[in-house]
Amino acid sequence: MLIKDLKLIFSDKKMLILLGLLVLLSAAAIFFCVNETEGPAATLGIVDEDKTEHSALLATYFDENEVFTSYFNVIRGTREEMEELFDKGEVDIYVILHEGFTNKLVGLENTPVHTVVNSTDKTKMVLLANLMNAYSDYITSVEINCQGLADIMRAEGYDKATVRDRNVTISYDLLFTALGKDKLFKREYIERFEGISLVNYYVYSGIILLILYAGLFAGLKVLKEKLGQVGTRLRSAGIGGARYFGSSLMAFVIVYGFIMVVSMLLVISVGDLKIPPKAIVFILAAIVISCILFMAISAFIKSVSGYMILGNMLILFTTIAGGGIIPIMYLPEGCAMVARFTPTYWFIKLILNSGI
Amino acid sequence: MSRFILRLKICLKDRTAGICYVISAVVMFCLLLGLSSASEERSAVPIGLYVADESEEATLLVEQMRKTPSIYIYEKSLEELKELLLDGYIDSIYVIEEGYGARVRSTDIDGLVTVISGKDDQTSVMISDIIAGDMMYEICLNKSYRLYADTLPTNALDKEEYSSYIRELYDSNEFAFNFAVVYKDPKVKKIEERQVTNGMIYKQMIAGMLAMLLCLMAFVSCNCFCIEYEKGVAYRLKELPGSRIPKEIMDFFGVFMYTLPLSIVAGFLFSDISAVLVSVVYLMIMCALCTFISKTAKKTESYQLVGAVLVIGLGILGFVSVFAGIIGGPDFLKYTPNAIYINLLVK
Repeated sequence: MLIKDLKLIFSDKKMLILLGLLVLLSAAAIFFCVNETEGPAATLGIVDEDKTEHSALLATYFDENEVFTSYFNVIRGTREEMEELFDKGEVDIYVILHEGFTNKLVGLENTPVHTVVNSTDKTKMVLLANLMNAYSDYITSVEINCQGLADIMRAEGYDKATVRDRNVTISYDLLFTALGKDKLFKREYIERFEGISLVNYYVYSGIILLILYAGLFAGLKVLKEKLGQVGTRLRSAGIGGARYFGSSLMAFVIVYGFIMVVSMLLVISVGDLKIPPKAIVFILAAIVISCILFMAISAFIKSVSGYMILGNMLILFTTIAGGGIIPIMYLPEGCAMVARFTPTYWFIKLILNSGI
Repeated sequence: MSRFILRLKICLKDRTAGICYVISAVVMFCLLLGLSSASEERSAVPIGLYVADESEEATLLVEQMRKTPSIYIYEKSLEELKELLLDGYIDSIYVIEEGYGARVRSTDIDGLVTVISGKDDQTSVMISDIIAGDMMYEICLNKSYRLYADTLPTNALDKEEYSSYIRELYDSNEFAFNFAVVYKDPKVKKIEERQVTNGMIYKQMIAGMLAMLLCLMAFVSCNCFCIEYEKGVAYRLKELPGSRIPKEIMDFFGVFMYTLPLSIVAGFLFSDISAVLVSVVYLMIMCALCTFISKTAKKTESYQLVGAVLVIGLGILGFVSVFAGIIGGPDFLKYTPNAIYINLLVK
């Protein structure tokens, strides 16, 4: 019975060719997307018009900051050069350390640093706004303490030279403290748990989507056979419902499992995608569950259109609620509770905790 | 025209499909509405916070962190927080170590806070930068006081008086440093007037889900053409008088009309009439594409296969396009249909 079911699946040559093409296309797309995401993605321009030690120090901070250098190429130039590059779309943000910046910073006057951000990319814009706010806090802390110390010393009658001398000392010290802020943190990593890149996250989400769709196909085949009275005919030939379902299930799992494993191996061998060996076991288990689920659904529905709408919507719902689109940590609490009942959540969780 | 009405009638006559359509649409919209209403609150990065120090400095840091809009704090025991981290509910855990206050006062600041995260997690690096901003005030205050108290011959103020003066300056906002940030579109030279908030990213994701939902509805609704081919009805309909192209166009409009209410509601989720228009146009394009695919595929299985790849492919490309600028994704992503829909909706 299983061999006959397999033959039935393989008898549809056009379908198999289409499936093969789509597997190759998906593998190529994943390979292309994963391998395209190397290196910094945007460019930050620094215009140092002040040209003092303090301003050079601050500019160097942008060059050496881990967050900035992982996301941005940092370049330097004049205001005109930056404006030109910005207009061409070659610079995403530029910061102007204006003339007199240092003097103003150490307490004489407070004027904001002019910064221009490209608003075309909303995500980049929000990220930069957050970083700029954090850096404002650093500079505010430095500035207030420089100003405060100078005020107190003046009130206590110290001469200008002493005030200036202490001001330079403290502003250097505080600036270095702000620039060396990484030292404030001690980092510990949880074993068998890794941070995951966004592209990889969506690739895993895509894999579970494909598994769910494999189940939908299995259910669709069973539904069409049901509508064609295949079950009744098999029963009259002495083949019971359990045997019929079991055999169909096995055939689908073998075919889909083979396709998925080959695709995964193809992607792993040509791309940078990280898929742990254990994930192959999860994928096979997920295919079994998905096929059972959709074959069960197809038993209760009498219309192909109805099944298609319900099945597709169910897949979309479990993907959204399970954190397949917006990662689970960003979902509202009610939604995050529902996530535990979705296959997407468990699949991504198992992959994350399996030591990629 | 009669063909259009006939197609619409056929779509509406399938009760099972109709019920599934309404139930699915209602559930999906409730879900998206829930996500949409929580967009501002939930777009902050969730982190775990464990405070092992009871000093005033530690309390001040916790208060400051609670006010930071970019982070959403879970305060639980360390074990519970580790469980949340492993379950993917938080990005990282910040432990304010015992002796934090004493060390800040003595300006011994290395490793004041322990960060527990997954390996290579870039988000926690960024969050650390933001939390460092919250820590900086107390650290700078203590450093400047040490300089004042230790190196000057006459230091009339004690620590409390000194701190209270610095706090006065801080609260006055007169010395609050700000980047004068201008958000500008270089192509149209237009300055962004809206307030830039984290919710903007979340809204893009919701727009992406709406695009996927509309694409899916167009796709499943056009399945009726495959069923007609499989039953042989389509071949008989071809025999009816009239040229082929107007008949195909009327078929397409019938299906489009069937799914139209969904696109109108989808647009209203963004409370904007232009969003409705964008959703209607997007749905129309998807219906046209799916009509073409279904009439070419002729078999439900083949159509479902191509359609699934279309929905998943366009969906994932759309979501990745939201972060393409940050992760360095290929440029063509922003020209994919879902990416264009997201951009237009968020604009």
